[in-house]
Amino acid sequence: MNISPFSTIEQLHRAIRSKKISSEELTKSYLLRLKTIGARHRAVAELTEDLALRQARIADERIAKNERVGKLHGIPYGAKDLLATKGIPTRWGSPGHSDQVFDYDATVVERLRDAGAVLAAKLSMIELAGGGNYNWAHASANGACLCAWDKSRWAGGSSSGSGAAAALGLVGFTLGSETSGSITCPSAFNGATGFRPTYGRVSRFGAMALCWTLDKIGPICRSAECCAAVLQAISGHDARDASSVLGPLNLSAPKKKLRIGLLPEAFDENQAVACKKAYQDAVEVFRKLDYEIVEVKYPDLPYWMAISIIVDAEGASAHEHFIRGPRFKELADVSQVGGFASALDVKAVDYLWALRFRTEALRANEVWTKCDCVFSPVFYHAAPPIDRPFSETFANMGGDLGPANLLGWPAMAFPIGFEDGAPLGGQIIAPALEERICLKVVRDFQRETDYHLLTPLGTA
Amino acid sequence: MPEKVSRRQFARTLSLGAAAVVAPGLVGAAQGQEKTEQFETALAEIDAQLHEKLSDEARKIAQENLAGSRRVAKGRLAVKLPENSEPCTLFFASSKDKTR
Repeated sequence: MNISPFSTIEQLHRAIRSKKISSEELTKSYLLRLKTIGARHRAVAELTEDLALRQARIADERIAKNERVGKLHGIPYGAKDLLATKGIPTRWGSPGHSDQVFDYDATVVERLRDAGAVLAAKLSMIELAGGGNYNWAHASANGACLCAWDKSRWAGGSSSGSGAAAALGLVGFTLGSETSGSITCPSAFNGATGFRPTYGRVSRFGAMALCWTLDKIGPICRSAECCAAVLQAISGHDARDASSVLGPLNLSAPKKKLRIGLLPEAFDENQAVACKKAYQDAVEVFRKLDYEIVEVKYPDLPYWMAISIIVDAEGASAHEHFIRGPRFKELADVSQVGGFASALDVKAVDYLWALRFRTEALRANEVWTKCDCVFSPVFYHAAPPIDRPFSETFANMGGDLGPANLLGWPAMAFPIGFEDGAPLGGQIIAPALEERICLKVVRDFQRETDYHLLTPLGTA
Repeated sequence: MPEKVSRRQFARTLSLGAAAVVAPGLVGAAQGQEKTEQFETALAEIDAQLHEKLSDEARKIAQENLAGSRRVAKGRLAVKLPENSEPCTLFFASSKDKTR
């Protein structure tokens, strides 16, 4: 089989293992794409060319010796720039952290190195993961990251470069992170497939903290299968992260017939004609695949009120030294300055209420007595234009206001259609620790459809 | 994800009737404008913590966010939690020889 920049991890793995292509050749080809297409879309925060070529040559030496290697061996990847990489700048997307370099690797970077993967680039992101309430696509040291399908649109955030790079075929796979939508949003806006794992499934050691009780790290790739391969490599307990779960990751497909829950949606109120059609078509695909479709509702609780308080309080605490320091004013979006500054005012009783509410919100687990997973659009519309503030462009976007992020539930975002030539994303949300349900449902959908195989024009 | 966007959307949704809460980011649009004076003290306290005072633009945004936070703080009182319920936090007591 011929490989392309958009090949899956499995295809790249077979090509490397069978010596049809060397890791070094593959790495050089992806580096070229990162330097050209990646630069044009502002997806790259830092090219790690020397390291990548070193790692690729080591990978090739092991292949030459016919050593047993895993699926990610020799495959170049990009990491969101909030993951610490030893000796390489890690700027957290922030102009105020332009000279930040760590002397250690994040656990996920270590694990991918051990799996033989090749770090080709640090990928652009919204400054400080957007915790200060950003209002513009250019809220990043790299400027506005541009949608893989339409350069007049935004690539989403905060894992902007990860979503764009996966969809543009700039690397074999990418890593993103999510506090509240930062994997699902850029996956949807770029037509990529992103996997937000259960909170604690993947170690956060070495990742910039925005919210200790919400942050998750996960892959953004070109298919559900690719996400599974990456998640398998990066998950597992890590004593350096207190939230790290102990149990093993089980991605084997559940045997029983699964019930997919549909939430009440507001397509008509948000003039979401294309999204409504894509959503209904996707539901038909699920029916055809013999999934049972049921209507469900979450308990009517203000989950987002708690998230809002937690993001403010934990974000301001995590970055307090910076906020109080001389470089705070360098942030690219003044909304972030105002947002982080005002978050210094959050009261302890409000924050503790949010943490107590989270216990109460566990009632939302009731939904899993009626279904095994939930399907919903990530947003009601495709990526917004880059030249207008989100206060205008997100008016009819919708978005997940449910309990999923607050309760650490996993979700997989995947392409389900288009609106005016730009991708629309859906997501499968599952109970905590049940990533395998997300994987099975999306994998089945992608065996039946080809949205995930389509590539942006002019990037092949 | 655009944290602000979601919070704005959340606030917009709630302002349509689900609860009397407005989250940061959607201040003036949903509930009318707060009086500037009531935030002067809070803004002065914030300014005092910063290396450099907020610019006029950042100050305006901070004030809007403060107004939103106040509404959230007020709105959360409408959500009854069980008396004495524990926050969802973890702390493991360590042995005496562990210093960090």
